[in-house]
This record gives sequence, C-alpha cells and structure tokens, in this order.
Amino acid sequence: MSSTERDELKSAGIVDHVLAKPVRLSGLITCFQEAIGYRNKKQVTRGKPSILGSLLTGKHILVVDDNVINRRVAEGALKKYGAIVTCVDSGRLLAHLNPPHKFDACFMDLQMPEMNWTTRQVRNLENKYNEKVDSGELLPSMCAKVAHWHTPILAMTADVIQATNEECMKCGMDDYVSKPLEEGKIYSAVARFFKSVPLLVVENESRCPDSWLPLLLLDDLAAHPKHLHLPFELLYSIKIDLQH
Amino acid sequence: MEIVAKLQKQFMEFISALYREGFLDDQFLQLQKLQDESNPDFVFEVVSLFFEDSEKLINNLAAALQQPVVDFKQVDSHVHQFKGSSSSIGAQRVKNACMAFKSFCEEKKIEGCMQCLQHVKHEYFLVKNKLETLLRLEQQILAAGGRIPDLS
Repeated sequence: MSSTERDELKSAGIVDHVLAKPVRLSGLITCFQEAIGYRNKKQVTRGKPSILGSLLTGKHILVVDDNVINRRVAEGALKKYGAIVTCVDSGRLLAHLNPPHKFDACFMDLQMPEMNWTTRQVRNLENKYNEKVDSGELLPSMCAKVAHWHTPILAMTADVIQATNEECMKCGMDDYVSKPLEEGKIYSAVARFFKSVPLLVVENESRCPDSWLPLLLLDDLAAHPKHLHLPFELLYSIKIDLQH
Repeated sequence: MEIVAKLQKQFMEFISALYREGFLDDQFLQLQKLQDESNPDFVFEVVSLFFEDSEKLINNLAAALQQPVVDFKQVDSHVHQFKGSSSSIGAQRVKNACMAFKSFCEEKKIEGCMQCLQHVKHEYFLVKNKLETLLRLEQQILAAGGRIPDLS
C-alpha cells in the first residue's frame, strides 16, 4: 500500500491508522497515541464531536417519519455524524426492516399511527429469520451481517412523559430519543448499540496474535475500501474465514 | 463601512430580534449548526419544505373546517402535523398557536377552531416573511464574499 493510499484511507475517516509490517510494539503504541491525538485535534479544529462521529460513521440508519420536514431534519442531524441515512414514511418500514437488510439501526417517530403494531411485525420477522438460522434451514450468509437479528429501533418523540419508555419497550422498541435530535441525545441512545472501535489496517498480515483480531483488517480488505464500511462483526468473521 | 461587515451586522440584529420576539427558538439555531460545507443549502431546503407543507396544511384545515359535519379527528391530525414541522424548524409562535388549536379540536369547538386557524395562519405568514428576509440577507452576505456570522 502506498503512502498516498494510506493518507486517503485516513483522511476519508475510514481508518484511524495504517500500521506497517512487521508490527512492532513501538509502532503500535505510536499508532494508538496518534489515533487518540488525531481525534482530539479534529474536535478542536472542526468543532465536530468526533466521538459521535466514530460511532455513526458508515452506519446505515433508517429514519421513519410521516412528516417530510421532520424526516429531513433527522436526516441532517444523523448525516452530520457520518451516518448513511435512508428516509421513508411509515408505510415503507416493514419492507425495509425485513431481514436480511443493511440497516444498523432505525429511528422512528412514535406518534405515527400503527407504530406499535409495525414494530411488533418487525420483531416477528426477525424471530422467524432467527429460528430458520437456528434450525439450520438458513445459513447466516455474508449478506446477512449477523447470525441473530435484532435491529435497534429507537423511537423519536416530542413529548417525553413517564409512560413513554414503558410504552416503547412494550411494543419491542429498544429506547427513545426526545425530539428535536441533538448530538448528546443521539450519542446516549446509540452508544449502547454501536461500539466505538479504532480500526487499523495491517498490511500483508498472516500471523497476528489472536487477541488482536478484533482490531485488525486484512490487507485484502484495505485494497477495497468499500468493504471498510462493513459492520465490525462481519470484518471479524471474514478474517476468521480467510484464516481457515 | 465595508459592505460585508454592514450586511453581517444587519443579519445579527435581524436574527437576534427574531429570537427576542419569539418567532424562532433554539431549534432554528440547531438547524443552522447542521449546515456545513458538505450540506450548504440545508437550512434553505428545510425552510422551503416548511413553506410548501404549511400552505398545503392551511388549505386542508380551511377545507376541513368548512364541512357541514366537521371531522375533528382529521382536523387534529393536520394540526398535529403542523405542530411537528413548526417545532422541527423552530417556528415557536406557530408551534404555540398549533398547541392552542389542538385543545379546541379535542373539545370539538368549531368557533375556537376557526379562530385558531386564523391565528395560526397569521403567525405562519409573519414567520414566513421574516425567514425570507433572513435567507435573503444570507444570500447577500455570501454574494458579497462574506461568511454567515456564527450565532452560538
């Protein structure tokens, strides 16, 4: 990998650092330090909260709201932190959350009609899919990012009352965010679901210590930057597959 | 005084008055923060959507209230939508007018609803006018090679 390619990956925010082989402890330390320092610097100069950015970058988020203005505002707020946003109205929700799909999470307006029913339908579809995987009828393939489907569904609501949380849980939602969406609120809602992991690219790696696996991407993947937006779990499993 | 600085001063005075007089609230500030180089027309786009949607809602509300038998559930759903979008854009006085409107819907009081529609309409056209002036000032600042002053 040329230094230009490395810089491209880094400046696109896809990886935090590219580690040259052979991996040495000193190099690893420098790279972690740089990863942390780089973030701090970015926060100061661009005024962007990169903590939320590191959680949301490259994540596919489905926004469901019947009000076109609310939809556009929610989209703007999530895109600001690097998420790839798809907006639909309530009628299109089920079609989008039928597994396997690409979405890492869904933000939906709580006040839309039939939302409780629709959320339960999503959970039913997921359960059916999971049962098929468990019974061996379906293999969790590459396009199915995870073996067990449970898309985090977060309700967006303007009026947060005591009963809101209970109501959301009862119909199978995971949490709620009060509207309008703001950085802090989005962060605390998604932090439970998305891990903030510094990604490293190791060139030509064939014998990484096992304990590093979660942090490392194969050179093959680095050569195809589009793959770098795959969810973390999938990268991990590709690494395992290629090793065996 | 240099033209850009003059326009910027005018912009700051104008927007401060909009907050002071309650036309806009913090949510509009949030919208402006979401606008950046990668998304330069965000506020303009959202405000235009708001104009388009609001005028449609006002017409729908007027039509619904003129029916021989008024369907208050339908009126309430239009008002709910109006309340949601005015709140998303930070048009505080329209939002407040919608909240009063909603309580008359719940009580099924036609007279109150008619008055509220006039009030909502009045507030909407006021804020529309203000927002158009604000966006025009922004355009003038950019055209003169200046930057939109940071509001926070």
